[in-house]
Order: sequence, then C-alpha cells, then structure tokens
Amino acid sequence: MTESALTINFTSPARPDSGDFVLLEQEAWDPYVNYLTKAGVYAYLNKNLFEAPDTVENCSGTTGLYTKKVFAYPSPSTLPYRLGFSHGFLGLQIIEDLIYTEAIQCNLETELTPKYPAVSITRWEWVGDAYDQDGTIVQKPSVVMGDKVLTLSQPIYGTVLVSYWVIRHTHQVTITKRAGAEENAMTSFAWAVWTGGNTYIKLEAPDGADDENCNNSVTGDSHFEHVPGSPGYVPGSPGYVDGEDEIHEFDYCSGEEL
Amino acid sequence: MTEASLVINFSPLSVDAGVSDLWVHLEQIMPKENAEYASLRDLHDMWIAASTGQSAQLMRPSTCPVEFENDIIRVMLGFYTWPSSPDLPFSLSPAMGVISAGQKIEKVKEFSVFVNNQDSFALEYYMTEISTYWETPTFDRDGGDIPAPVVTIDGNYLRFSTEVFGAIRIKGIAIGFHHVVTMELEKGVDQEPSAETEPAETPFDEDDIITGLPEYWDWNSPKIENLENTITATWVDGEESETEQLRLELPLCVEELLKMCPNAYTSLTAICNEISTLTVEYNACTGAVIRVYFGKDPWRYCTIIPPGTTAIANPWGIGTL
Repeated sequence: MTESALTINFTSPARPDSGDFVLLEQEAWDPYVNYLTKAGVYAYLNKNLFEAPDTVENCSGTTGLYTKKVFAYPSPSTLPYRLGFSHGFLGLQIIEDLIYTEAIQCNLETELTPKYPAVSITRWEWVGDAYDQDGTIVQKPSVVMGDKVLTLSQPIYGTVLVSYWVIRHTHQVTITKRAGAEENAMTSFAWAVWTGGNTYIKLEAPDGADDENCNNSVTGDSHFEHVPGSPGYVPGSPGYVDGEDEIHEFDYCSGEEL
Repeated sequence: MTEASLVINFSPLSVDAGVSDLWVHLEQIMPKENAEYASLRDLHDMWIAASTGQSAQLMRPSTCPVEFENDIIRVMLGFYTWPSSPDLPFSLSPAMGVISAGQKIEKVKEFSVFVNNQDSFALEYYMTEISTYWETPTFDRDGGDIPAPVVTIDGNYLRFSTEVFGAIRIKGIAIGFHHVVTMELEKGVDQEPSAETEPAETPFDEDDIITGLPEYWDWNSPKIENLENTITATWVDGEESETEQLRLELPLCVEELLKMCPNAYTSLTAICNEISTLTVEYNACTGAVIRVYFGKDPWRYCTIIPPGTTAIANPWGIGTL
C-alpha cells in the first residue's frame, strides 16, 4: 500500500487541557427581596397603630437597576484573565485573601477537592464516624493533606471539615434595564476568558425586577381589586367581574344592610 | 476494494446532529413572578379603606382563572404552542380536561443567549423579522479574540461564520398558537351548609363575604391536592411520530382553592396585648366570620403594647383595646 492511499483526518480541540480555570459565582439574593413577609406586615401595622419607625422596604431592581457582586476564583490564583458583562456597568474590583471552611462529604472517593480553588488547605478534621459501603462503622482512614486536595488511604462514607485559603476577586456590577426592550430587559451574563479557555454564568435578577414590582412597598403594585360599585372602584378597570356576584352594602356603624 | 479507494474522513459532528428540524414546543402562561403573592400595597389600600370608613371587605384578590357552577370548579389554564413552522400539522391531547382550538398569535420575542463555543444556535420559535447583535466581544475556545462572526438565518437556526464564545441579543416575531385547557372538578361548591357545620351566631352577617367565592361552600367537600395535568403535542416527522409534553403548573390561587377547606375554619388574632387576645375565627372558604372571642392564647404571637402608647386606629372596628 502506498502512503498516499490512506488518508485519515482527525478533528479535535488542538490544545491540551492545562487545568487552568476561573470559577464565576454571583452573590446570592436574600430570598425575600421584593416579597412581603409576615415581619413586613407586622412592621407596617406596628407603624400605623403605634407610630413605630418606618419599615425597611427590602426592594431591589424595581427602579430599573440593581447592583450585585460577582466573584471570580482564578486557578491558579495568579492566572491572568479578562472578565466582562454582556450588559451592565462594571464597578470596582477587590482582591481578597480569605479562609473558607467547608464540610465535604466522602462518597467512597479517595480524593477530596474543595468547591472553590484552594491556594492551600490549612486544616482538616473528621466530623462524625466513617462507614464502609455496607454501612458498618470503620476506622477513619489516614489523610494526606496536599495544597488543593485531601487524599484518603481508603474509600469511605463520612464527612471532613476542611479549611482552606482562597484568593477571591470581587467585581461589583450594576445592571440596568435595557431601554426599549420588549422583554428580558435585565438579562446579563458574566464572562471570563484566559489563555486556553473561557467560561460564563447568567446573572439572576431578583423576582419582580423586570416588571418593576416590589411587593414590599406601599408604592408597588396592588393585586387586589375593588368590587364593582364599591368606593375606590374605577369603572372599566381590568379585573374579574362575575355577573352572579351579589353586592351587599352595609352601614359602617350599625352594620345594617342598606 | 483497491488500495486507492480506502479513504477515511473524520468530520466533527455538528451541534445540530440528532436534533430534528420538526418540533412543537409548549409553554405555559403563568402569572408574573411575585404577582401571586400579597403586596404591602394591598395591605395599604385595605388600611386606607378601613381607616376612612369604607369597607376593606369590598376588595378582593385579583382574577384567579376559575369559575364556579353548581358543584363544579372550572379551572382554565392558558398555554402556547410554538411549532417549527406555522403549517406543521400537530395534535394536542390533555391528560385531563378539554383544549380549546388554537388561536394564531404573533408575539414579539426578545432575549439574550450565550453562545458557548458553538457555530450555530437553534431557535425555540419559528420567527420572522429576526435581528441580532453581539453584546460582548467574541472569542475562540482558547480565549483568543476573534472578529464578530457573521450571523445568517437558516430556517430555525442562527448560523455563525465560525465557532464562537460570546453573548448575542435576538429579537423577532414568534408565530404560534394560544390555547386554553379547561378542567372541571367536582368540589361541592353550591351547597347549603349542613346543620352541624352551620356557624354559631356572629356579630357579622353570614352573607358578608370577604373573598370572591360562592356564597355557600360545602364544608365537607373533597380536598383536592397534588393535581397534575400534562399536555402532549404529537406530530409526524418522516415515518416517526414525535411528541413533546408540558406538565402544567397550577397558579397558587387555584391550588389554594382546590385544597380548601373541608370542615375547617381558621382564625387570626386580631388584637393582642399582655392580658388578652381578640381572636376572630372565620371560614377559610367563604371568609364568613364564625366566632369572635377574647382570651389568652400563649401560643399566639403577641405584641405587648408599651405603657403610655395607645392605638391610633382600630382597623377591624370590633372590640376594644
């Protein structure tokens, strides 16, 4: 067979995986942002009944913009990278040197890696017992502490509390509502690129931000309607009008039906 | 086979591989995110009504997609079908209820997507008048800058002149159909209250209904929970019959209506101080007040009125502090 007769073309990513990466993460929202809580109701009534101080609205994004932090964890920590947002304004960057503590569940692995890229692991300890795959309590395996991973001498079920040193880059971003957008006006992505790779995350706006509606504000939208014919009812206002509704009018003081 | 004929070419698979060009996507129409929950504005409006001598009971939660007829609760849920082409024949079948004939709609859709090292993007709608622009610089998969790829529209795909990493904004007119699935559930709505569950005499008229529910509700009616309904769209692709399913979510107001409230009442502590509480028991279905009484209830969350302060309003108009 001559050399020219057999042609095989392989197409695959050309680069070897260097192991470098950047982990992106958005700072979490308080789950009650833009929602009315029982505490909010209590505070409002307390203010009206007993002249207590004004309530805290806990609204975000409903005035057409929100500000949030995005964390980047480069690995290695000296990895040069570029970061940007598909929509929004990038604020100051802060580089922080932090110790994180994390409970890692062992599920028969022998190598444990913390969630965030560790510069170095500083300490570890077992939490509770160790179990084999049959659920029998066994002696805890010996642990070798590396910079980024813990290596166990045997696979077990158990929990290890690990403290480790991380370098966190905090980027503050302000997301505004896109002028004239028909929908999804506050969608934004954070992206990062470095030599050899790229990554992105979608930023989460708080509920109600796109509609500019905060449930926790007296200036927000009402989801109640006045019964047709009652004081406050605006003729022609949208809402459910059931033809079979019976309207009873009562004298406010005597309670007698009019 | 001759030696010369042995030529093997490997080509990378397109991201479209295995994805049919015929499809029907289903999308439920849901209330806006936080519109299903009460707002401080609701409370404020009711407070203003009560404190100015109007009845706050003449306000009710806004439309819930239900109707009442005799023993039946009728639940109506809207959804869209988005076929890959407006003339693609398809059928819809619900696990429960009846689906209305589709009403053709043209809806402006605008969204951003992140193209993650791809050379094409599959649209989820049949769209016309599509416009796009890149929202970020564009990169290759090794992090190198590349010129923004040219975008072409190929049926229901956006094709890029090269593989790319970057965000793109897409706007166009999606063409689909609007449907309503109607489910009828026997709940025992329009029954007279039975003698043993008839409420005790109260300072309120029985007909003084707080919510927009029927005047009577069978308090022993079944509690309907965990209701599930699935819509299945079926179409033919070549020789094969294809399907897509949508599991319908019930809006919170519907969920609450269906599960309330056999033989049950609830209560609220209207006013409370360190020696006494004023408790109002009311029927959770009709809103009718069943009983009002004073008493100490250590399990209730109770505010202590500080010495020297007085209430400046009494929104419930009953009892005294």
